[in-house]
Amino acid sequence: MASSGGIRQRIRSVRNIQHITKAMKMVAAARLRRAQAQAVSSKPFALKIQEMLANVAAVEKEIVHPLLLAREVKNVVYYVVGADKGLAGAYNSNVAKLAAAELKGRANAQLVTVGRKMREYFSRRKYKIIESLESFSEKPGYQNAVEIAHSMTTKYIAGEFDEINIIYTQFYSPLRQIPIVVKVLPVEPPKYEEFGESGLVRSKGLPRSDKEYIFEPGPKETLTLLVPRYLETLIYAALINAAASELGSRMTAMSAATDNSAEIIAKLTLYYNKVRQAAITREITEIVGGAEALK
Amino acid sequence: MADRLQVDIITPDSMVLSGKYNMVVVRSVEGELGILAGHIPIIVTLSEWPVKLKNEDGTVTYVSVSGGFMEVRNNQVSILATAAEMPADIDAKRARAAKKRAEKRLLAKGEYDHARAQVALKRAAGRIKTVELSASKTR
Repeated sequence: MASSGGIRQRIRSVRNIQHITKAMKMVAAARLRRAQAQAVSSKPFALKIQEMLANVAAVEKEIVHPLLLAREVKNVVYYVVGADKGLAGAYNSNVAKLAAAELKGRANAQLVTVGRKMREYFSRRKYKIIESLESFSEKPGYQNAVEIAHSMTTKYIAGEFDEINIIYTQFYSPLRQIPIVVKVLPVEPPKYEEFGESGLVRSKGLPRSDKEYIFEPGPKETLTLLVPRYLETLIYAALINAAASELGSRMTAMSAATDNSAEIIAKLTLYYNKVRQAAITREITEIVGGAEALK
Repeated sequence: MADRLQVDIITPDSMVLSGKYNMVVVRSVEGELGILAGHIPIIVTLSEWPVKLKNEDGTVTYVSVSGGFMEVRNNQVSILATAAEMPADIDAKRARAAKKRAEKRLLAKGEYDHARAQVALKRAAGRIKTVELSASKTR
């Protein structure tokens, strides 16, 4: 039987852990709300860009743009988006597992990691990582998406890669997130029927506009500028989704941890009281026994 | 009364402005362009220059826009830009400092990324212009 002092110490340490998990849960909940708000406010821009691109694509039948050009696929690269921090339930391992499955049997596939946990996971397993990005997994800004898009574009045009995929976690609710693989380059121009499949940006699909647009300066020039923006919004949506998933996952995990620690505390307290009671009873019997002996 | 234009200025993170205006004047890469109600559908590539919005009472609102696109359809004007600010939200001091820094970087050869400095300079100039224009109108 453990000493009562030892049990008291354990109760205290479990309670300390509970404080931390509770705080983390609350922080994650607050940030999740912010991430969701960010997702909502990023929606109009992404939708409009999609719509414009679909319009240009409808006018320009022969679209020529280096980012739209599919070529024979030799070098594939995967961008794996995970978290910088752990303690987010199975969030990181789910993304990593999907990525590992996707990379299996593709000797020429390369890897770019987003988030510290992803770098650690894949470098530990001796994967070749060509680039690793960190420190914005929880709160991605549009600028982060721009930078990623820029490096993707440069490498794609230089012919280093023939296909670029992004692996991230699609956010559905704090309890449900599913990791998915999305091909971002070569860009496939959106069609009206398939509107809003990317990320948190989901919509019922917009009606096809019957009027033809005029373009200034011209459809080709517009396209040249529009395609990179479109790519940015795709990546931004992926980053926001990943962030929301991370926070949702962490919130759920920490909430469960807080509940569990409450349970452990209750059990330990009961045990502690029993031990204490037993000690008191034993002492009384000893005293009574001693008194009996003196008679 | 003639129809008015519903103008939305949208950035990746927010809706900067949404309201009804009589006229929109933008600077495209090919020159200035005024949009009135009833304009045919058009998609315009913008340069870094303040967008001018005419209110019903004749006053003018300027909004700083960092390039992007404008789409007009059915009296609905959507301006998409990676960054856009109302004049009140612009830190004129910071914009001037950014302009000076960019100019310096353009002069210092080789040390900095020229393309980036060029973009920074344009952005700062657009913001400063926005502040100046709106200041001169309120007087």
